[in-house]
Amino acid sequence: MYKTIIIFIAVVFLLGCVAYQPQKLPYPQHIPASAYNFKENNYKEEKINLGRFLFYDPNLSADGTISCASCHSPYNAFAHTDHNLSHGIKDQIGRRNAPALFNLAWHSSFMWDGAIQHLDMQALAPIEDEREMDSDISQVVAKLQKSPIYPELFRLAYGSNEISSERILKALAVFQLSLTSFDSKYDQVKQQKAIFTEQEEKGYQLFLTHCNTCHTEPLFTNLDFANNGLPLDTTLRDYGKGAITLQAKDSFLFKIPSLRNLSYTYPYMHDGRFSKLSQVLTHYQKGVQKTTNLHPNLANGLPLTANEKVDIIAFLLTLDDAKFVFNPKHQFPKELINN
Amino acid sequence: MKKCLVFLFLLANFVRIFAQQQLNFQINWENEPLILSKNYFSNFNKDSLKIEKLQFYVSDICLLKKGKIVYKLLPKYKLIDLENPNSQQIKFKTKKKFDAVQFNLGIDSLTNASGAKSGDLDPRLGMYWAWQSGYINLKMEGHSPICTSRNQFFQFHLGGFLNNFYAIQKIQFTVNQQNMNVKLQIDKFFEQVNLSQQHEIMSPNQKAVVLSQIIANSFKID
Ligand code: HEC
Ligand code: HEC
Repeated sequence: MYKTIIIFIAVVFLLGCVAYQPQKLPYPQHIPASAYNFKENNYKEEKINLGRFLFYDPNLSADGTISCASCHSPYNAFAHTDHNLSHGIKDQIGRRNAPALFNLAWHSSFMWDGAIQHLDMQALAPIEDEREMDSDISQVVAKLQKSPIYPELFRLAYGSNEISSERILKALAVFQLSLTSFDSKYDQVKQQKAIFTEQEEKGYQLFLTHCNTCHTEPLFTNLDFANNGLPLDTTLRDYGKGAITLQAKDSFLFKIPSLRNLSYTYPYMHDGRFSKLSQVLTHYQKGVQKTTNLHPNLANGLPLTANEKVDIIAFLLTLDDAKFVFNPKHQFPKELINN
Repeated sequence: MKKCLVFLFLLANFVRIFAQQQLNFQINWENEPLILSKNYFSNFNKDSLKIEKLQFYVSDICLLKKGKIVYKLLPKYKLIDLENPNSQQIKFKTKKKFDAVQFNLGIDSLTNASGAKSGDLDPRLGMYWAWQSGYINLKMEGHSPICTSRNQFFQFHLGGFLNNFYAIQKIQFTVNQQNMNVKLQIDKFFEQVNLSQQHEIMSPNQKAVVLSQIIANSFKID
């Protein structure tokens, strides 16, 4: 009798533990641990939802025309395809190509030049840039306070309907953290749910030889900065990280982008100079310029034959994650239409 | 009876003073409180100038005894604003004996590189660089005819938390009393900075570090 009661209590307790498990960013086993500190910004469904509203809301810009999604579209893996340089408020042209946004929980510095050290604070940059959204966070707080939908969304996310800059920034961050892309053919191969074709396998081996030092699997970036030998565009004179740190050793270094979802994220590079993967491979094969701080692996370009380039591209396409790109949970919240 | 009341009143005040200690941050021009937008004359620059904004962060204020920290004041981060007298005083209560006070001018690296914050660290307060990470440790803006900039405007946004341009300054004073008045003698700054050559700093760099040191050396206590 006692035994059954004890077992019953134990079962209830265990069930309770399972039910009260704090929510966690899900990712598969072949992926290393994420870097974002969720202790200061817990991962929560309602907060992700609030962040999604904010991400798609043009009210974050001065004249109500530009949202984050204007430059980071879900169908482009949250990059921007139409333009090589991003387009902001009143059709002003920015300095750089909008990067894709996914797997950001693994990153610890942001922007092509690493100007930003924490995802929470990143959103201030576009909100306040006069060529992007040309607003400021106080204006955003004031606008949202007047909105009919936000107080309730904040209450669900945080327990009270207070709207503050901290809460806005954290919700935007958590939404972006929820954008994980680990369901490509490559991932299925890693989980033994699929196999590469012969050509993809050849491309994979070539990739490991030539590209993996910088575009390290399984994130396909080592999250560091490098000079991959792009000739300087003299109309932009963009020195990347060097312009932020003012150190010669950082000149021409740019954040190494992930190579997941390349079919959706063209054009490529910090200034969107290439629109096709074949151009990118031709660059590595024979376009590399010996500018300051060129990465030693690329000193003589990469010895790739025409066939090898095609094989590498075949492999790169196995990194496309259509389930991520078309995931309805990441898309425009329809309730915003009437706001 | 009346005398008795006066005595009680004094006693009460005495107790209160003892219970509540205070650290004041004053901003002075030649030993007088600096007045917003008032014209002052800088001998070094040989011209007039007026200060229209002056805000700075102090953080990790603590009391020391023989070089060891005995008490940490709260809040951990405090934005001192010329326009807001309330921001210039920090009340605290401790029975601990101390012989020195120490604080940072600016915000530590770890906080700079971490997530969204509220209170005095709320980015709404305009003390955060949006286009890159990091708090502005000190913001001073104003006008002087000697500035060659547009509208003769000067603006010093001093900050930087990465190794190479680390602008945060640790400041320490010995003290021998319960209430402390830390004074920023801003006139001293303009005795060392040539406004005709230097009137705009808007990002972390070597000059920001040098000017932050000049500011740090312009503090005194009494
Ligand atoms: C006008 C176009 C535009 C808008 C609007 C915009 N972005 Fe961006 N975004 C960019 C560009 C361009 C970059 C790269 C900037 C750079 O490297 O200097 C970028 C970079 C980023 C990054 C860094 C990614 C990485 O891997 O380093 C994040 C995160 C981001 N944006 C999120 C947002 C959010 C959130 C919003 C809305 C609050 C937003 N963006 C609005 C164009 C835009
Ligand atoms: C030395 C490090 C390094 C090596 C090796 C390297 N890359 Fe890159 N790659 C970079 C950097 C850095 C960038 C971003 C450069 C920029 O925009 O200024 C980049 C950008 C790219 C892009 C553009 C992605 C985007 O979203 O814009 C592609 C595609 C790419 N590399 C593919 C490859 C392939 C394929 C290989 C091997 C054949 C390779 N890379 C080898 C460092 C490297």
